[in-house]
Amino acid sequence: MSGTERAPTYFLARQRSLVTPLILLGVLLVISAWHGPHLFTSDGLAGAVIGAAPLVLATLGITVIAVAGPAGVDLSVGPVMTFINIVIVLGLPLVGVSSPVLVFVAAIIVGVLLHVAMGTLIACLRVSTVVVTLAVYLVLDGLNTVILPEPGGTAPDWLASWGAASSILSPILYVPVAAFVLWTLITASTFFRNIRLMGANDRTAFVSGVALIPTRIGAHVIAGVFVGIASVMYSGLIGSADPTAGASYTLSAVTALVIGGASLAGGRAKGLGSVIGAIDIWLISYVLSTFNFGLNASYWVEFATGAVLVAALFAGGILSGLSPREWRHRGGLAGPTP
Amino acid sequence: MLKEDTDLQKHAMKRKEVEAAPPERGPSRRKVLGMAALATGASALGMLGTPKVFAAATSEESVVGTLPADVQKYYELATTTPLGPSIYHDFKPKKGPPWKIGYASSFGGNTWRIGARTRLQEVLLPKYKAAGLVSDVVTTESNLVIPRQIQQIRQLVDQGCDAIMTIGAAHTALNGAIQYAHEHGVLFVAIQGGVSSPYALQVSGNYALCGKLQGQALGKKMGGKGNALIVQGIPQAQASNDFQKGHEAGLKEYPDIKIVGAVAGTWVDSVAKTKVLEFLATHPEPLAGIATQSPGDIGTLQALQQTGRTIVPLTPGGEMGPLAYWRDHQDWIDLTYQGWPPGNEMEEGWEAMLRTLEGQGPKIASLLIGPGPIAYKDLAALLPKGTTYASNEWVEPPYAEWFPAATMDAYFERSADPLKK
Repeated sequence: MSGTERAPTYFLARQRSLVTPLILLGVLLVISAWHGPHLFTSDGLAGAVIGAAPLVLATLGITVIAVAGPAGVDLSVGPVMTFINIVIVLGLPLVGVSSPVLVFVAAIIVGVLLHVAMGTLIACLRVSTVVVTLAVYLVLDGLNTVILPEPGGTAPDWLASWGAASSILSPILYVPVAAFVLWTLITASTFFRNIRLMGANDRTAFVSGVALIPTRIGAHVIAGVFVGIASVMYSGLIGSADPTAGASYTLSAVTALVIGGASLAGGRAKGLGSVIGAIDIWLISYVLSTFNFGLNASYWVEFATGAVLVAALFAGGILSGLSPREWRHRGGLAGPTP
Repeated sequence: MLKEDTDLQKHAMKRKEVEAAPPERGPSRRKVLGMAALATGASALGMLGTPKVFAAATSEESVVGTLPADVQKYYELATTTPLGPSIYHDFKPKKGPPWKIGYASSFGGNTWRIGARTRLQEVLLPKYKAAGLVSDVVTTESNLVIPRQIQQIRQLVDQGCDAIMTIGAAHTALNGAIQYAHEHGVLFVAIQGGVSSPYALQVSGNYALCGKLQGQALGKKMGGKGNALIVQGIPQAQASNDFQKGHEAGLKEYPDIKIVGAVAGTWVDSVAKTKVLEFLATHPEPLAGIATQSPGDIGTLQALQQTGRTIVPLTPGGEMGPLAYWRDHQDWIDLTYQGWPPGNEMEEGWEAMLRTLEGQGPKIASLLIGPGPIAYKDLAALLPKGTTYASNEWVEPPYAEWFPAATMDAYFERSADPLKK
């Protein structure tokens, strides 16, 4: 077999982490078309985009941390989003900031500052990512409630209107698309390759000349950018400030990350996989809401999400146990499992 | 005169008897609510401000002053719910009857929600189906995950529901979804505590007023002095915040009572017990009373018993277990108030929704109802035989007396019996 003939197969082998989220996406879309066809109307798609966008962007944010490894699970994302939400809705008006550009800039700056602080602790003190982000989760979860004991405030009009959107031909789509383009550009850079190398094996990265501390902090800067954008979308979704509503994004984003095929050991995670994983999470809730499960509906959503997570881990474990070459030689999905 | 005033002899809660009771049995509903009317009038004139964070949602000028006086008294301390004219005053549904109803519940895991759901499924739906007014009820539940409830509300709109009734997981976060429903011609009704959206019709008890009356009764039982602890519900839930504000307002009428702390019982007895135990472990000073939110009373009692502390008076709110404890310990408290019987709260929201679908025209954005007092002598009638301290069902006064038709009529421009439309 010539190298030219092998190239497409090798490419597909390298995308095997997308197999599970793509299959799940296909299944969920088919069920939606059957049982909830309104999803494919303008209203339905607008609801899907504004509903899923905060989770998609938050998952992209923690994907960088997962790539930077080791065990790079960012537990802080929910309370960080909540904190930025409070800044947007209650903080920025105090200094007269409400224009779209300045709100995005401010949200990104706050996200970056928080993540730089976390990255510095992790890189300089060599403390586990999970421990530092858990600590930040707890600190911010409490702080958010102290700053804002009860929900309130109103997002700027241009942002609050996103929550009632009826068309996807609006910023609720443009912003996530622009963010994904930004993600693609970042992942094509040498710097991101260094992050990937560091996540796969930091000793190898070090002896290869990668400056570990700046690289890790840089990974957190990227995460802060995406979490900041996610917070703006989230503020549009709820149209106000809420001290607790965002906390649920931590578990959802980590679940989406895993379903999307990321390796929590570090070095391997795809932005596209995370995006599809996040859409899968949203669709699981959507599909199950089309069935009248009554007051048990939410428990079925959580049961289904947990079952899918286990299945994704199982499938991911099988597929990631093989190198691309092994995977190709075993005949891809049709071949025997190790 | 309200219908309830003429039916008090039959009322399981015997409100009239409580009102006629000597002063030491607690303030009468009429007297206290009379003071409420004054406050409400002041509020209507703009003398009482609203918190800044709610200014946008409640900026419509209050129309409470245009309601009958007997109804105005239910609006004391109602500062976090829109009080302007209802946006559904001239509402006409897109189609029907029969109407398809969506019920977006934020939580299903406690006895209150089960009681509300039972009334909906076993009483209201069959009755209104038989009358040809309702075709179906589609239920969703979000387990307090707010983004999920937003998605479910939009989904109910997209599935063709003519009206959506919700128990919201948040005071402000659902506003975009509520606006989406309104823009699609769907009536949106919020029960059991407020949302701040002007696009919702709110129907609920006035929990702040109930909390205040409970606080006053507690303060009196404490002899007007000593340390008090507050056990909250879910701190970010508006109903919980309203109850707490009321408790604080009631206790503050006694200058020698010091509120020494507040813990989050989250409306779950086991959590309330744990939180109170933690508080007692770090606060050795004696307590003279605890303002609780039901469910959470029995957990608080267990915490006191477990630590060997004196059993101090609480503020049970209608759950049978703590009322059974009171039945067996007459001197524990003198009076309490019930603010949210689950089945009745569901039914008042349902009835207001059906009346609005029929074009009866609600006059105000928020329809509130005052609490009902419970005295010791009422317990024999309220508690079924065999009720134990572990009973977590809720006392349900007859709906016709809890929210009389005449009171509901007062809230609508073109009022009529919804079943006889």
